[in-house]
Amino acid sequence: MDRFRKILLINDNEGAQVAFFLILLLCLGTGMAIGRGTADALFLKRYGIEYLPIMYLLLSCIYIVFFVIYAAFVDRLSSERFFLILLVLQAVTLSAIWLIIINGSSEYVYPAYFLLYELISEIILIHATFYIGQNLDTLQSKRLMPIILAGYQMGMVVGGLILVSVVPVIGVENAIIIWLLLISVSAILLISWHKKRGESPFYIPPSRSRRNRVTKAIKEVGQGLVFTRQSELLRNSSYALFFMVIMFYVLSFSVKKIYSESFENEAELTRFFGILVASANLAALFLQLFVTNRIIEKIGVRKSKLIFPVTSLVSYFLLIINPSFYIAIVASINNNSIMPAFRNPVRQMFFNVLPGYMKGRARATSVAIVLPVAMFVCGGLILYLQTANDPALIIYIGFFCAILYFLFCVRMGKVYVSALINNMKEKLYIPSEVEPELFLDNNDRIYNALLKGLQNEDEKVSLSYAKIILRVFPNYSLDPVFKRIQHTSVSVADQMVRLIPPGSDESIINMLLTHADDRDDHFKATIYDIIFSDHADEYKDLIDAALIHSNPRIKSSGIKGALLQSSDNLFKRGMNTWNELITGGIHQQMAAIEIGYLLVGINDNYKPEMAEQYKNMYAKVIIDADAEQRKQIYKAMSLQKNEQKKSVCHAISIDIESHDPELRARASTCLHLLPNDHIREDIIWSALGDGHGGVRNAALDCVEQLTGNSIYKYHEWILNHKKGTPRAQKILLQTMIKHGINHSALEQIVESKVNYASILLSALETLIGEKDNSSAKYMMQTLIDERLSQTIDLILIAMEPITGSDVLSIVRAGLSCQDDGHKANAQETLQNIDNNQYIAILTSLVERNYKKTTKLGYGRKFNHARDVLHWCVENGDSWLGQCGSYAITTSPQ
Amino acid sequence: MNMPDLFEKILLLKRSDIFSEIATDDLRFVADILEVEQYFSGDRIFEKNDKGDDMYVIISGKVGISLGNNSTKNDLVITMGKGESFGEMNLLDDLPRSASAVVIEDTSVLKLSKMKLRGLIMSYPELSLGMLKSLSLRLRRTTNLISDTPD
Repeated sequence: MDRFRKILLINDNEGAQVAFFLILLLCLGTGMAIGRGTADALFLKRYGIEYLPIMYLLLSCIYIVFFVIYAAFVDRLSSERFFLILLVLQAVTLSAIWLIIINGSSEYVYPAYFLLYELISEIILIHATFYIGQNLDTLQSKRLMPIILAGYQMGMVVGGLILVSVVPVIGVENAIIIWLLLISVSAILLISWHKKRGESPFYIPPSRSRRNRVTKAIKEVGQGLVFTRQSELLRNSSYALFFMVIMFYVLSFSVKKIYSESFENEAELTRFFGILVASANLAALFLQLFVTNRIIEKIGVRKSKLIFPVTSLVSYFLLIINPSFYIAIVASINNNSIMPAFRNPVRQMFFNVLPGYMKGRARATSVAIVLPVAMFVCGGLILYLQTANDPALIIYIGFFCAILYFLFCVRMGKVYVSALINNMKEKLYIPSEVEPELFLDNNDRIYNALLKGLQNEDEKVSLSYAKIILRVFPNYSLDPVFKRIQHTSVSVADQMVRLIPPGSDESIINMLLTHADDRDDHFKATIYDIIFSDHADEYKDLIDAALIHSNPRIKSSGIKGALLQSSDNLFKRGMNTWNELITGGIHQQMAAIEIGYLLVGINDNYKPEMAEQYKNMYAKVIIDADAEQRKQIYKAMSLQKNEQKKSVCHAISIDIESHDPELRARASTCLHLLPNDHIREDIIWSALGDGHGGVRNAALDCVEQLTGNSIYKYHEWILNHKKGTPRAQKILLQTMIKHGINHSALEQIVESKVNYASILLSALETLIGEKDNSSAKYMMQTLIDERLSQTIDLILIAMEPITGSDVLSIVRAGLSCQDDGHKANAQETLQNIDNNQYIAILTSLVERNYKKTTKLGYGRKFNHARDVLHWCVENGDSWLGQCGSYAITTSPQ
Repeated sequence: MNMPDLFEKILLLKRSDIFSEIATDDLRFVADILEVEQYFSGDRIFEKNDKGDDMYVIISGKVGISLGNNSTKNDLVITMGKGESFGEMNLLDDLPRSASAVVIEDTSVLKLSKMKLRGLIMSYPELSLGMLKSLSLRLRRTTNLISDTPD
């Protein structure tokens, strides 16, 4: 039983639900087959084939009325209640028809029965699909709908067999009673299921609306027309439906004519229809259960869409060559087996790519306008052509429509993928381009809002606003910023004043000088730094005074100024003061550390000696330095090139794991100063995978420094799955892509990661199959699943430049958003990307059903969960390995 | 913290709505700041309108949520068991509790303090991205429920 369930892709908890839907559709399908055979036979034999085109004309009008009414009321009630009402109405009208036939009171009852059957067959199937849709989620629908609809086909087979065996005994007209009984059983089933399970889970009660429901339904049809004009997919879909309907009914008329002429009485004809319905639906059932899904999976939705048009063309071709009884059977198989097995499910999938607001309205338009108009045209054409000299002309017209249908299906396939991508892009809110000018529009409203933000009591908030207002309104914001500085802490005042870019504007410099004494010496030193950085030569006196100031911080500002100005004498005095700081106490040394970066720019005569002095100073100071001081030390050290002393390396390896992200980031900028060994590499990987973007970027800068911007070094790193978490690998990969790595290197990464992902999947399946309920097992399962998704994400990132479009970024967004509908659409989009050898494997991996027999020979078989755990320890990244090691100690032998 | 504890805690967090989208690598930091608390049947973990500072994940036992102030077991709107969490929204907003939590059976919970979590987020902002993703997922589901019309 389990094996059977697995073959049919039914999950553990879905058995009862699927069984219920199957039985319900089985009853409905059986009834429909009886209706099909009896309605056709009674109409053809007691009324005449020549009136069939009139039936088409009438049906087209009836369809419009009924579908508008259906659309108006379908969401007013839960779908099961609506279903029940439909079944009751069906039973009442059928009873009336049966009574009239039995009494023989009117010959018009036969066309009435024919029309009733055609209407019921459409509405019941549409509503059954809608009803099932309200009981399944999107992914369940995709997986289970073909199997559930197979129940309907099964019913048609049973119904066909009833026609063959029972009708000769009870007569054609009394077969209607069996249909009535089946309707009653369906209604009872429906009531009892929902009594137990409650309302359909995905039914959304409509909001109260005073508007007339019929008017609203008509309006929706009109809106659907507007969408049809706008959407290329809908336009082509409507044309395809139009020609398909004509082609279908012309074929249906032609074969019915042949059958009508081949049998003498209604009992024989009914018996034949029974055999035909049973065998055609048996074929459809077989196709739906075992072929449709597999073909769609193998060749994709786009190509599957062409199966029915092609078989229809073949049917017409054969009918033109030889319009015989047996060819008519082939054409009937096309209409009754191929169409339900391929055309219907694929069309449903095409509609799924449309946005939700468009889908319902588009469907309403096609059902209420396109289908009836096509039927009307078809009825009119046949009626007219019946009078023509050459009866074969009807078939030629049908053939011509079949060609047009094929061409529009081809066109639909072409626009399908772009519609799918656009829908996902819209739903996932992926912006095309951000217009920066939007934020720079100098208007009072924005200025006042920023000003208000600047006055915020929270200093950090205020600082953030200061950054923006100084950048967007540099000319108007100095005064308010300086006013705000009076009331902030010294630290924030210092950060805020650094935001002021003086450039060559003398008024700003004067303003800075005016405010230099507003706060403490640290603030003053910051203002000196700002002024000296661009105007050192103009303020030599100030530099001179700073060099002899008692505060080491102001001294360091003076040194900066002395190094930047042009007088030799002042330069030498600056160097002497610098030496004083290096050899002074902790405060002097910290001030020297703060200007350590100036070493890079000084004369070579001074550099080696001072560099050595600095190295010794770092090693000494860092031992007792607090976190804030170490940040300063790392900032200065980051510009050093050579390996540092042990105490410094020790401090870096500890600070890289600090909870303070700024300290981690600063320490990350000094990773190149560690000895070149595996410990350094592990620390770099850890920093690249850090949970703080600042730390990751600092580590990345450091890696760039180490590898001399050689992207091919990263390439080797990424190929090693053991190194770094997927997050670390992702940042490296994105950097490589930014630097323009070539496609062959990216393909190598893709291949390697696909291989890795397939092993992860195999590992995951092994763990799932294990009967161990320990937390260690579930943890490993969760972790491997996570790693699988992350690796797939890496593959998609690497593939994006290869495919040369942004489609994969949309797919990534769809896959990671966890919304079932978007996930399904992302998978579908992925499947439709052409010209890439990895797409098929990737699609399987995404759908988590990777088969181990692929042309790349990937995949690894694990015999036991312990094999998986050992593999994780030996081949996984540090977290996977760490968890695997622990899980081994607890897993059963 | 030993590994079994860590695994249990990570798995419990992973099952909760608010942390479900955070990778286990990052959840280990959250697991580090969780505290175990014991309650007995009839205890009240928090009251409606209390200042809410913590989120709870049930390790064992049963907890009921009631919308009243002096509620009894009969007034419970929902009963939660192992692996379920409550009080998540208070991690993000500063509003008072909108319901009371009553212990139905002796219960062990993992408590996550808002202040500690905020500190952790400052240090590892990637955590907040995961939380945003979870919340966004919840919002999308609600939006879909409200806006989707059957077709």
